[in-house]
Parts: sequence; structure tokens; C-alpha cells
Amino acid sequence: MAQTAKYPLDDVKALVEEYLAGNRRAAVFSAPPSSVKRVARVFVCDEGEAAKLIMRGILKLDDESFSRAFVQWEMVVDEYGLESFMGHNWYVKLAIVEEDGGRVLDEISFHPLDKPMKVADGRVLGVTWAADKPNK
Amino acid sequence: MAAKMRCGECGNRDLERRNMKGLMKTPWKDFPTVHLTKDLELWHCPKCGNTPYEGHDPERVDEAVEASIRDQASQFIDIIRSKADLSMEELARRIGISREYMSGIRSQKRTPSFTIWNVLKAIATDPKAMIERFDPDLDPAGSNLLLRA
Repeated sequence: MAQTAKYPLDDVKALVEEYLAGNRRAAVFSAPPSSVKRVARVFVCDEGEAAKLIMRGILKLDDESFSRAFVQWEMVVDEYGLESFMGHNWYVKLAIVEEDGGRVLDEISFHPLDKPMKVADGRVLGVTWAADKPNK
Repeated sequence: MAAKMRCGECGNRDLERRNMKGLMKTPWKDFPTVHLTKDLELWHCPKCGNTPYEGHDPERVDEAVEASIRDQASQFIDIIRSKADLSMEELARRIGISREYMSGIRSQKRTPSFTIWNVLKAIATDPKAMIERFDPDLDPAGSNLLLRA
């Protein structure tokens, strides 16, 4: 039986919309070298712009973009492959965490694919950005 | 102060607040590396060195990095002017930018491009020697150093 995402995309996108509307408490970026800093390198932009680009990318995710859910550090994370966003294919890993009675999007990874990735509908997304290296 | 998030690189929950001034070196726009010389407190993972961001941290990082660039460029100008005994106008003429732009950089109201910042830094390393290389009168056809090969 095919896996389904742990976190409904409607819930993920609602938090993204909150973030983009100005509520910066709606999201965290728990691994900036794997998200904000890598996007900033690809587009040669500042980190604030990179964060917004990431959020706009997440809004493009659909059920067919889903790849798998797995347990990482005692919590479930959802993996997606985002095809043809701003000219590239992207690896996305995220979770929704409970915090002070509210929910926060943990945007863990958002970076160009480092290797081909298979998604739910059987497509294999290829690597489009060979020059990017992890920015530690 | 206890972090509510875990480190996204190693999963550690025992994060600490750390002032990254003097510690953070980061690419920023077309700057290959900027050394942070302004106060900026971020979460830090003592286990792997990652700095997990809260939602507003990307913009806070941008503010601190940009302020660092402006501060450094302003200091370069002061060093050059004092050691090479140059007016603002002459320094601006030498490197091919307007006096107004130079003044804006000196007063930290303008953020220089990486090219300008890099030229100022290079001259500041040895102002008397380096500034001699920047004389448009000696090369009228290529009067803007920044366009010279």
C-alpha cells in the first residue's frame, strides 16, 4: 500500500500562508544550511527572500509530489520532490510540530535535488543544479 | 532560555542562545563570505554547530549582515583616507564612483556592492602603496578601475 503524508498539505499550506502574511511564528527553519542558505546561494539573494521563496515553493506541492514519510529523531517527517519550481527540481522535508498549544511548520530541508528522486505517481525527478554544495 | 525546536541537522533539543558576532561567516547575495561584526543572537546547537532559525531569523540575519558590510566598508574608507591622506572626493574619483555614493558608504547609509567593498578592502590593506594603482589620469581610456582588465 502506498504511503500517505503524515501532515495534510492543507495544514502545511495554511501555516505557509500565515508566514507569508507576516506571522513569522508560523514556521521555523531548523536546518538553515539545508534550506535558507542553499536557496540563497542558488538565487544569489538574501536570506529573507530565500525564506519567502521556500514558502512559495511549498505552496506548489501537491499529493503527487509526495515521496515518503519516515521517522527522524522521534518524529515523523514528510519528504516531497518539487518539480520545475523556479527552473529546478527540489528536495523538501518538513513536519508540523506542536508548540505552546499551537502548531508550527518546521521547514527542515528545501534544496536542489542532490540525486534523482521518485515521487508518489512514479515520476523520477532529475538533478538540475549540479553546482550547489551544502553551505555549512 | 529553553529552545522549543530541535536542531534540524542532528536532532539535538539542548540548544543554547549564542551571540554570533565574530563567529558567523556566511555568504550573502554576491558576497562570497561576510564576517559578522554586529551583535546577533541565534539558537546554536553545541552538538553539531548548526544555528536553527526561528521564523523571523532570516530577516534578522540579513539586517546584521548588511550592517556588518556597511560598518566594514566605512572603516576601510577611514583607514584609506587617514593613511593615504585623501579627501573623500579624491578617493571616490580614484575608484570611479561618485562622491555622493562614497559619502553614503562612509556614513553607512548605503550598502556597497561586493566589487566596491572588495576594492576598498584591497586598498585599505596598504593605502599608500595601493592607491597609486588607482589613478584614472594615468589611463584616460580606462578611467574606471572597476572596468579595467
